Amino acid sequence: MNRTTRIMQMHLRDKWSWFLIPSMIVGISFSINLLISLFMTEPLYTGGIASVFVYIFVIGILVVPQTFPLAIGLGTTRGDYYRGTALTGLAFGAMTAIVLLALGWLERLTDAWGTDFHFFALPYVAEGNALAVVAQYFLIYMFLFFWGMFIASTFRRFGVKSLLYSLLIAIVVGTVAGFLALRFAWWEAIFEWFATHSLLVVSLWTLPLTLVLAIAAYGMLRKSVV
Amino acid sequence: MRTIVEVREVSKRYKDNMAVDRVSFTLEEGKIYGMLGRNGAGKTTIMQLLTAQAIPSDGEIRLFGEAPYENARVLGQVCFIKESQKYPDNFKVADALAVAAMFFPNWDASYAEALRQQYNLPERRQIKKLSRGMLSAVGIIIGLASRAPLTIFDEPYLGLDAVARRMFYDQLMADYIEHPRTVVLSTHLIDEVSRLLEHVLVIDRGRILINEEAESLRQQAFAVAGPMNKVETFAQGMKVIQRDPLGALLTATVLGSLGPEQRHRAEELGLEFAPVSLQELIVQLTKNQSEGKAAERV
Repeated sequence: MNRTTRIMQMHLRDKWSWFLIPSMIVGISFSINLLISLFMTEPLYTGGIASVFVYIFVIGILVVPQTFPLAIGLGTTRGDYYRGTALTGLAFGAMTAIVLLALGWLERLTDAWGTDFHFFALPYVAEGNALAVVAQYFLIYMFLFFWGMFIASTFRRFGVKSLLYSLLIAIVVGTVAGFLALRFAWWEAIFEWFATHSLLVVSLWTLPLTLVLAIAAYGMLRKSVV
Repeated sequence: MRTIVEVREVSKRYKDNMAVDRVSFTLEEGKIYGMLGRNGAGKTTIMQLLTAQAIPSDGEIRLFGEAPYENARVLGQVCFIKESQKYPDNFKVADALAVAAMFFPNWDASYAEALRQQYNLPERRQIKKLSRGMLSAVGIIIGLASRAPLTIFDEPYLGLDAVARRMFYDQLMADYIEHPRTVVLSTHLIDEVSRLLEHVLVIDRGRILINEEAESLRQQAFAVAGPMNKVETFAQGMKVIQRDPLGALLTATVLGSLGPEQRHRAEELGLEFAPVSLQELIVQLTKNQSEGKAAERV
């Protein structure tokens, strides 16, 4: 058996983390909002699908501490582990993007579920052609997945202190940047940039960042011990 | 016999602590090795270095003639069962065994299933809900059923009772005879495993103190038993490392090999020879050697 697909199969054994929990989160969020929309006279727009993306960020963080020790314990190389894990993330990213697109279609087809309830086909998010919608979902998904994996790999490689330092740096940089943006009135320009660009363009901008995070995660995992 | 592991002058430094200090040894194909030593002596670190789970600060390691780090060809032939092995939270016993089956080319699924039943491991139980002993049993099953050419058990019996430990030793021996491979057994329960071991490596404070065939180690001492005064007479001028009195009787453990002359004298005195415990012997040798080393440093 191919060494990379073995790692993917190992991940797929954990059906809760990869299938059931995310499906439940979206399912519950959808059901509750649908129920609310039944009692509303005006249309209901909700950002419930954001939970899918928050969740994959969490999975990116959790997958390494959960499975890296076992994979290495069973004699996998770190490289094979990384490739198998990244491919699992890519496969789920592609699948999620297509499912979200399909559900968006279904939403339009059912005339917003008959209750003017907008969950999967949101303005700004689900505009544009099918390929663009799938691409933007996929790109955001991968960005969050590798960001999570990057955090987990930092922890693996450098221990818990490195995370505290990173957090500290992130807070300081964020505060300073926020202050500068306020001081020099950049916010307006930033909002305008987001408003004038489609989500596809915005998500394409994550691509270089995603690549950097993915490569850095690989570099750190390769030197990690269990 | 083919050498499958070569460790040359390997050290592992953690910040202010020399966990492994210029260690060299080789392991040959088709033998059972005991890696013995106290907790914190560096046994686990050495095994982690062998399996590329840790990276040496210095020195060279060769497994099956190649460097093990990121080497799938080499690591695929090694199964390292360690006491602290972690499993994903959502994994059941069946998941762990199924995943192990994918990673070891010689995996024997029916043997694994038979072992699972012998250890009463519920297939559908989550691993994180297993007791300490059951968790150890998962490792033991993976280690045995993997049939890896180099199988390493690091304190595999934690939480197992004496009966289950005995079961493990018997299974290991039986399977080893049928499917010879190199086994490294790291333990501090020396007496329990002593009949299994063909070669003994004793680690102390990151160094190798003893690296010897178990048989020749056993011949380095003998125990003699009989009435106290007669034993004392016999042992006069010999290096007695242990005295176990029992009423008017005494068993003395004597360092040195037993020659025909001494055997003859003991017979005249009506004394009997008893097997010497490997554990006792190693404790004594370790004590002597570390004292010697301490003296050297001064």
